[in-house]
Formats: sequence, C-alpha cells, structure tokens
Amino acid sequence: MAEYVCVVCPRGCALTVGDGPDYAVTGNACPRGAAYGRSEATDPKRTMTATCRAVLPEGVSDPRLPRRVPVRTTVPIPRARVGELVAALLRVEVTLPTRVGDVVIADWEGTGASVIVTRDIALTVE
Amino acid sequence: MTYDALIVGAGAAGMAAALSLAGRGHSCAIVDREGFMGGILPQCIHSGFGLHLFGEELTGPEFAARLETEVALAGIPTFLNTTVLSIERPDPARGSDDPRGSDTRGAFRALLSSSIDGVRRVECRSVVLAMGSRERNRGNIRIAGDRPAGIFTAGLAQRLINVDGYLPGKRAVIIGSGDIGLIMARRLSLSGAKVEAVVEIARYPSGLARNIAQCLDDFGIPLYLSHATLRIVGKDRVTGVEVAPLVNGAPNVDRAFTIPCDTVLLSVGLIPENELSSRMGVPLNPATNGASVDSRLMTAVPGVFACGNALHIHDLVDRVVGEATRAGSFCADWLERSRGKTAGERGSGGQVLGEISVRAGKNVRYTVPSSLDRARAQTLSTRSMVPMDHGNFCLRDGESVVFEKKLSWVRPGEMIFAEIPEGALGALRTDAALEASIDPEETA
Repeated sequence: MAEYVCVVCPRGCALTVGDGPDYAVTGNACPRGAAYGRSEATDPKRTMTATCRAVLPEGVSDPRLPRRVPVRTTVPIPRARVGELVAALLRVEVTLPTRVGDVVIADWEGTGASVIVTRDIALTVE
Repeated sequence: MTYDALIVGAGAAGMAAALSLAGRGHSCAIVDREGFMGGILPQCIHSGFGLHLFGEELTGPEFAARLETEVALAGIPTFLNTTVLSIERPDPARGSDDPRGSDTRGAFRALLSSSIDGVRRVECRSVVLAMGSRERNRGNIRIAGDRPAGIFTAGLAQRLINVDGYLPGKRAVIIGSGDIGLIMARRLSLSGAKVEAVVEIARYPSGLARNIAQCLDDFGIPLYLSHATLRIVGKDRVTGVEVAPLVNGAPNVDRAFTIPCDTVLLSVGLIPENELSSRMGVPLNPATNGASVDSRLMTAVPGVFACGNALHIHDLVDRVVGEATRAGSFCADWLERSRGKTAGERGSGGQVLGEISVRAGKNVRYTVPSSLDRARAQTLSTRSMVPMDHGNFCLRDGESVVFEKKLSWVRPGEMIFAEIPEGALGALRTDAALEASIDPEETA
C-alpha cells in the first residue's frame, strides 16, 4: 500500500494504491488519476521539460533574442532517467528560428519519447 | 489611430480579451512593453497548462503560441516594445454609464511610447486593463539582515534560467512556498544547483499539492512549514538564511538555525500591477490590489474593464483566459449598447437590472466582482482564508441564503468559483447587500 499526490491536474487528489498485482487505486476523482496511481506504484514517469542552448544562424546577431529554447518530452519518461536526459540535453544546440513541435531528439534511447521545441521563436524581433 | 478597444498587456488575459472582442466584430489593438507576446508564459517552460481550456497538458510557451496564432488569424494589431504612458478621458461626459447609451467616440486618448516608433496617440472607445502582476519582494515581507548579492524573486530566477541562460547560484534556499518557488526548486535541481530547503511561514504550503509532490518530493527537498525567516546572512554574497520555528505564532529564537546557501529565491506572492489604472482614476480594492469591478468586470470608470492577474491573482492561466474572455464580451456589450443598437441586437449581458454589493464575510478573503447583477447568470471568484477539507460557500442577504455551493479540498492558494444561475438573485430588493462566507463542514 502506498500514498501519492496525483500530479495529472491541479486538483492534486490524494491517492492510495494497493499492493500488486491489482494496484487498486482509491481517492482518485477521474480515470486518469487511477492510471497515474498504478504507474506511480509500478513505473513512475514524468513529462520532462528543459531548455537547450539557442544558436543563431551565420551572420545574424540580435541581443533581444532568447538564449535558451524550451523543449519537452512528447510522452512521460521513466522518472529514474530524468537526470540522464537532462545531461543529454546540455550538449544539444538548437538553431533559431524555431517552431513549436520541431524535433530536437527523435525517440530518445528507444523510450518512445521524443524531445520537441515548445516555443515559436522568430528571427525578426518586432 | 482609432479603435473600439485598447487592450493593455499581451499576456494570456490581453490576448483572450482581444479575441473575444474581435469575435464580436469590434476593432481592437494590444499593447505590450515586452518584445514578444504571451506575457509571463514563455518563461514558464514546465507543463500543466491548458487542461481546462484545450483538454491537454501544454507548457507555457505552447499555451501562449496557441493564443498568439488565434490573435494573428483574427488580424488584431499588436504594438510590442511599447509602453502605455497614460490613458486620459478628455471629456468625462462622453461614454458615461448611461443605460440609454451614449456616444463613446474618442472617449479615451492613450499615449504610447516605443523606441522604434516614438510617441503615438491612439483614440479608443473603451479600455481593457490586462497588465498582469509583479512579484512581492524582500521589502514587502520585511526580511531583516544583510544586503548581499544572490537574492532574487522566483520569477526573475525563472527568466534568467529559462530564457537568458544564466544559473543564479549553486546552493539555494527558497523563501515562501508559492507555485513559482516550487517550480523553481525543481528547475534549479535539474539545472545543476542544489536546493537546500523551502521555508514557509504558514502551517500549510501556498502552492498546489501536486507541485509539492513533483517539485519537492521528487528531488528530496525539505519543506519547513511554520518557520519564519529571521534574517539573510552574507557580506558580498549570501552565505546563509537564519530560520526559526513558529511557536504560538511567534518565532522561537532559541531553536533558530542557519541554512548555508549562496542564493535566496523569494516566492511570496504577486501584486496586481495597477499604476496605470490608478493614474486613470480607477479605484482599487484593497483586498485584491486590483480594480474594484462590477458584475461586468467594469471598473468605476465607465468603459474601462479589467481582467487576469491585474484584477486579482489567479492560480491557473486557464481561469485567466476564462475571465478575460468574459471581460472582452462585457466590453463588447458596452460598445454595442453605447452605439445605440436596439434591444434585440444587444448581447445578453447588456442589460443591467441593478447591481447588488457583495461583501467578504467569514473566511472569505475577497470576492471578484464586488457586486452582482440581479438579472443574469454570472461567475463569482473568491478565495478562502483558511484550509478546510469540506466547506460550504454561501451568499446571504441578511439571514436568508440566496446561493450556496458545497466545496471540497478548500485551500487558500486555490481559487473558488461560484456559478450563480440566472434568477437566483432576481427576488432581491435593489438595496440588498450580500455577504459571502465559507463555513467548514465536518461530514464528508
């Protein structure tokens, strides 16, 4: 038996998850909470967000442009591997301009999670 | 240049209000002093936005991009890198709140300034205030001690890390348990810094439970509840924070201890930004630090509406968009009525039977709006002053209950919404005065 706070939505339900093999979830207000409770008890996962270094194309310079490009995983990854992905993203550079959805890393380490850009950054700052 | 509505602020609130107005066929323009749209959203790179509005979990920049795309499609002009210096009413008689409708042409004159286009004058019939908020800082909560380098508000640290690419320090203590502070505890941890502690003076965290779970517990960061910050220590750079547990409401100095660190982040609340509103003569509500508004989200200055964090601090951006959409729609009603359209052409919110004041009573910090319309269905936003597992939100006229709603998991950090149906207030006298209260309930 284990207790968790559901992180699926801002409501933050207090979940109680029974032992395996059933992992019966109580305290959830919706089916997504039940799925989260089971996942948390068996294989905790997190959607990871981070930033990558922004690189300007040759000949462009504009101090007003952001120096980091925000990214996220398309699906949650195992919580234990978050640190590993953070380390991998430290070495990644993204060239501006960017569009939401641009793929930075496709199918990271065979997890099925890709890392995508989450911000439209245009080169012309109004 | 002349517009039906001038919208101050290009964050979630400003964009949503503009879309609502444009959807009703009114011309509007959005002004923002930053060089990008979205307000605070582009630096909120974490996910958790948009569940209510879009039915999926988005990051801040993605949420902003969705609204920005709609604003561009609607052809709404935006003035970026532009500050609103002032908004004046040259002839206060114009655009007065006359139910028969009056001519609002040129009711307001705004002075805009930008380094690229210089100073410009814009005329408009109405104004939507959507300037958002500022962070409370050390001075606001009076933390004693030294004045070394290394002290940041949480949102500033967020901007430094997520947009500008600087790490503000290596060992941090976060004072206050607001959501931005919790989010930044996780971000600092993921960015290679160590977060030594989060220190909260109240006996419950002010941020959402899920942020305690995924931002502190996931990283083993201790949360000290009921602990006061006595002073910040350090000569050139912060070297530590001295804290003490609260006993009977006062810090127990004998049990004080120092947490070594090189950086302090403050996450101690937000204050609606209303310098422009005050200069326009818009009266503020001391409980929210935002404008006092009636049921149409209109301030005491006719034709001036307010929404989002400039009106009162919200917990979720989805709620900001909801409120701003209503503000835009009320503004459209106002414009349509003032142009002398017939009753049949008016929006549903155009008729005002008479407003009844609402006072914050037991356990209620404030209500927005400060008055309700007797005729319409409407939304009342409020916050509880104390946490309770189950409660009952109640609107009373003297002894008689005119509306009530059962609540569960009531927390001061989370907003409460009461959807008051049409007709609920119809039987009240015009001089009635309502009181809002939240009473704890023992039963589950």
